[in-house]
Amino acid sequence: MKILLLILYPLFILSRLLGILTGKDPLKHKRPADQSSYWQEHPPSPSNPEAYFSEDLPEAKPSLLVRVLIAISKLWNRKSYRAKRDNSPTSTASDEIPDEIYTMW
Amino acid sequence: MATYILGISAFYHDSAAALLRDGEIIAAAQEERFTRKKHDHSFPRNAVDYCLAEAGISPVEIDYVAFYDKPLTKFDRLVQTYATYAPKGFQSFMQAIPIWLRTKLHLPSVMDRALGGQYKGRYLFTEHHESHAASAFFPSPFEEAAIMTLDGVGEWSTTSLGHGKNNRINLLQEIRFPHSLGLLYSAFTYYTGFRVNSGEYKVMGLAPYGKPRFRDLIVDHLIDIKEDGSFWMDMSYFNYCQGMTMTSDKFHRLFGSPPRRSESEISQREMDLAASVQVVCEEVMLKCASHLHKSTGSKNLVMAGGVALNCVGNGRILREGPFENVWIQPASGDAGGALGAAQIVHHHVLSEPRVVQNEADSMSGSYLGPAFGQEDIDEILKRENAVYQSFANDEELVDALVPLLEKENVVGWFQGRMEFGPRALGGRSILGDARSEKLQKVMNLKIKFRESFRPFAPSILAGKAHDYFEIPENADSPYMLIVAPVLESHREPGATNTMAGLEGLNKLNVKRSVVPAITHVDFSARVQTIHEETNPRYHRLLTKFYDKTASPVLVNTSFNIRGEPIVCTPEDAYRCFMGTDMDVLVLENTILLKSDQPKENIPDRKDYQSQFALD
Repeated sequence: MKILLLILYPLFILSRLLGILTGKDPLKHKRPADQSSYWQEHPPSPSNPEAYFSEDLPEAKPSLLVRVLIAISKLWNRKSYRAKRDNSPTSTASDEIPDEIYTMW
Repeated sequence: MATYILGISAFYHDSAAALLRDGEIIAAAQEERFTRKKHDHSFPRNAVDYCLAEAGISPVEIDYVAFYDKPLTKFDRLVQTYATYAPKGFQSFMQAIPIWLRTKLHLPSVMDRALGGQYKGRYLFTEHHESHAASAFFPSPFEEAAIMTLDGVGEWSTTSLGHGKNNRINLLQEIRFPHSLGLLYSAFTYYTGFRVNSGEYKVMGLAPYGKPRFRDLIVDHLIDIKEDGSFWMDMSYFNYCQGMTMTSDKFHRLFGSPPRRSESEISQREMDLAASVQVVCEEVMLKCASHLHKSTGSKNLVMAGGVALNCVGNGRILREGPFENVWIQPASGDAGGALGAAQIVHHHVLSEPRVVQNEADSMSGSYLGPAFGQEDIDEILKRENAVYQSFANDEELVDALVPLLEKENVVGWFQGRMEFGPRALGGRSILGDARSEKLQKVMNLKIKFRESFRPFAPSILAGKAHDYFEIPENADSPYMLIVAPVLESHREPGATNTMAGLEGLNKLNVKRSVVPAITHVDFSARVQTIHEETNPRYHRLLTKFYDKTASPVLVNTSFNIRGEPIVCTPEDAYRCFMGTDMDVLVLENTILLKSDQPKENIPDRKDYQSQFALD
């Protein structure tokens, strides 16, 4: 998997370059000028209960990178999980990853 | 037939499960209590098993399983962050993405496996801050309330404001990652040499030893705070988006040194840094509260999210307004998200009405974990060859215990159901006489094996709190989430002047009040009010202690040592009792004295401590 990610990583660099060229700032690194408030409107809670069955927000539009990674992930995990109870640990982090960083993943 | 909804939080920190039966909270527990691994983030298998056992059902009988955040939205945030920083962040990318591709993008399968394939329904996913908001509003005693949630980060939101009425909550405004009050506080936790996710309490406890001399530096460079409480952070001072640390070299240059090494000596500088970030945190909390009050017009405020565990900030909101009533979810961290997710399903998905019960919240005092019967305890004690005395009823037990407390003994108190949330509230607590001058030192160094600067909290009879603390007469603090100053009338005359001439930890040597064991160096205390309705036995103990001593206050700290999750079972309690200098252990209706126990039951202290990684 690591090799696959290495191959894929240049797409992230490309995306960054495109972002710089088009002036995109999704993380709001630049302080918005002349703004009296930094609050953003939160989308209303879904009125359709079906929205709660989705792993994504109703208004979400996954980027190309996200879609590529999800496709890879599906290929990687093709086998069925509907099986007997698996009692192996489900911890996803290795001890080498600092808590402060893991908590954001 | 009853409807069962299981809520789950997992894979970040403080995994937990919560179970609703027809909307009633049947059980809730954190996984760490069972696995004995602090902040365990693995799937909460043991907590789920416990919740189902408490309800007497199997996974096949669960109607809905709700997960407390939207994994794909979180993944989108992660990918966008890496794409914004590339090629910086490569190391982080190579570690984080495989975890997602293998596990986190397959949560339904992971949960299926963990539930043994017995749950046949679909999974529901609620938004992270919506889960926090639900955990704050739905169990609260209010028909309607303004909602404030603040934490590190969920999917994109780090702070949100909303409103709840009857069976609906609506989030109205948000601040998005990477601008985060929780992460700002965590950055200072990291920089002052403490462990993120558990050291924030230490920073808060350290703050009163310092002066906020870095406050202006923080607001001039790190964070721009608007009058309405919204904020923007200059990310060039931080490294958490792209690196494996919280702060950047630029941050270190601004404050003049690299981060303090963990376990090295704490200097006045760290105390001043703690005081400074604490002041900034309070400033944001108060401004947010004020803005929320204006925009909702509500007189009630409910709060959740990790920052809502900042009880100093909570205390200021309670005292300085503008809300008349404040209620804070006791499991405000991610664990509480499990409860919130389940409650969203009940109210938003199933459209079930919400019933508010006579000004009482529906958390049952947060005693939502496992309890153990006297038979279980007798069996364990016999197996350990422990020496103990049993009592026929609470009255006799309390009569025997009060004189032991009066003699400044440290008492392990294990009774009833375990608490849900990070605080020990009288179910799994270590108790002592708050009037003792030596107890803070003894408890920190010989019982908890933790830093000497850390304060202890008082439990006080409800109705007496305003006699001792600057707390409104109608306000309760059952979950130990409000810090309030000790009243002037109970302070030691001259203590203020003596303290003014001292620096740092030297302040600890001054007797500060009539209850010195729980009075912090700034005369504050993290108050817990004890209510007969939710904890009758603990209430009886305090009442008896008050009758005998005229003091309605006991020291209450969590039943564990540093790095250890709070004890869950009687075995955990006995091991902790024997591994420390605790004098007395109460297990339901039995009392054990350390001096009576077989010497061979005393473990090697270093071995005992080494089981738990320092937090």
